[in-house]
Amino acid sequence: MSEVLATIHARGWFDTSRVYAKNIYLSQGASLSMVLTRHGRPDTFVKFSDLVDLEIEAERCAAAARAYPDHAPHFVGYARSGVLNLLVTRAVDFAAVTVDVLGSAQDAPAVREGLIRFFQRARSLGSPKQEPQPRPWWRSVHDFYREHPLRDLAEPALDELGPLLCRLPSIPQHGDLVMNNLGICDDRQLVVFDWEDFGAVALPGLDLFTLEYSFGQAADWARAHGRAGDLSHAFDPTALQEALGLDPDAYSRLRLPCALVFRYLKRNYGPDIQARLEEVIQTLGSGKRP
Amino acid sequence: MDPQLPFARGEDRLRLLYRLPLAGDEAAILVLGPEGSAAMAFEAQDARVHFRRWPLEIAGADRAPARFDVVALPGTLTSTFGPRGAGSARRFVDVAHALLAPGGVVVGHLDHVTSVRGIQQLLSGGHAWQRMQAWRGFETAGRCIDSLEGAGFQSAECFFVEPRITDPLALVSSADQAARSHFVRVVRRNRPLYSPAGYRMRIALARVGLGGLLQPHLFFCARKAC
Repeated sequence: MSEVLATIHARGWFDTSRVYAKNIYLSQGASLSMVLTRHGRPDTFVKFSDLVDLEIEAERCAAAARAYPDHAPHFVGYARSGVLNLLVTRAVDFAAVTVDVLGSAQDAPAVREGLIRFFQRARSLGSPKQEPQPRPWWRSVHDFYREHPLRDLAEPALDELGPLLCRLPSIPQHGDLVMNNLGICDDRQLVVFDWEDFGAVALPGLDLFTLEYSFGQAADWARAHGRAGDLSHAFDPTALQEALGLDPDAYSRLRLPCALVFRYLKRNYGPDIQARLEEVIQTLGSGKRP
Repeated sequence: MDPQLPFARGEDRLRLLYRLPLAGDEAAILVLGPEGSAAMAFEAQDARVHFRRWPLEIAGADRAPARFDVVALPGTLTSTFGPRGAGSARRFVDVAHALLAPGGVVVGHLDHVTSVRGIQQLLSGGHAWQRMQAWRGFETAGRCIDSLEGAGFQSAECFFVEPRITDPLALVSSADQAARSHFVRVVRRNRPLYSPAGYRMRIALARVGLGGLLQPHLFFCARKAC
């Protein structure tokens, strides 16, 4: 930890000679991150590890900051010192997007407008050029399901997706766009976190699908606890499809492939998440909506 | 190749915490603690680790040569108590200081005895007064830092462990403002997990800077002067 702090100080990324505090976080993936604060306000975010290589993630965070300057944290830098490597972004002071926020007359419209602008931006990043064959990420997903218990469900869906992908715009996806990775800043701007999977897949509609799934769970929880389950003031899937430029029929066909890709991206996460996603895949595969 | 970090179990994350204050080039690590505590902090096959079972093997320990780069106290400070002065938390820290080479690190975790859970356990477990006496100086994160510095350590830090030491997901600074803003955010985010009354209690505590009272464990580290 002292080496991490010395490195960021030496690079001019954060002045550790002035009073500050730190909170340290351990993700489920056993990487460590720190938020350095001054007077209680988050200033700098550092992710570091001497076990895993963070360089690709740093590249993705930097790319996300360039692609989504209004939504992604400002990327500061990546450094390596022997086996230790770290990436640094500016921290953001935010309120998490929760069921309370979604039901707030003040905050819900900010979330709704922020998501529309996010997907409009995503559309502008898309490459409309048709391609002769699916990109490598599609093959990685296909290979993942080759030995998977869901193989019989997955392979036909992915085989059908392959040719379709060649005709759809290629839009780099966040890859984990769920409520937990959203925040609202003091100025009512929407901020999006955890860009480590950004661009790993370019399946248009994936981010919309994961968001829809996440908001659906929130709505279910709200109804189960006697609260209003209508989150449309914050989440309007029709408006988001329009912002993305995605035909409703095409999106409908993409739901099962999106669930399969999402499960692939979560392949090293905990068993609970994997089981929930496989349940969604089964439901979609049976023709129902989760 | 799309890199994916492996999912880590709680015990793996706890060992990761014990590596935090270390530089990686430490040659000799001493674990002082109850039976089985060494495995909490370090891998079983780590050849640098020596284990001494506390409190049975500490007689004369403070007269042993100061030769260790790290002294780890995994759950040690609040795991036992004994006759006044003999099994006290302060005694353990003094012994750790004596056994450390100059520049060496003391690292450990302990029960947060003044947390809501800590007080419940104290009142239900018997010998409450004797235990409070044995743990005096380490009841809160702030007092833990003061006691470490009083024992001669520098750069002492003490964090709230969230949610618990066997499954750590965060170390939260005990500095007032940093802790307050963190706990307010976490309580709001986790609202679906609480009953309405539980949420109101938690958010009220968080807003006045007492969110740390809900954290059952503390994690500390400090350095012996060179």
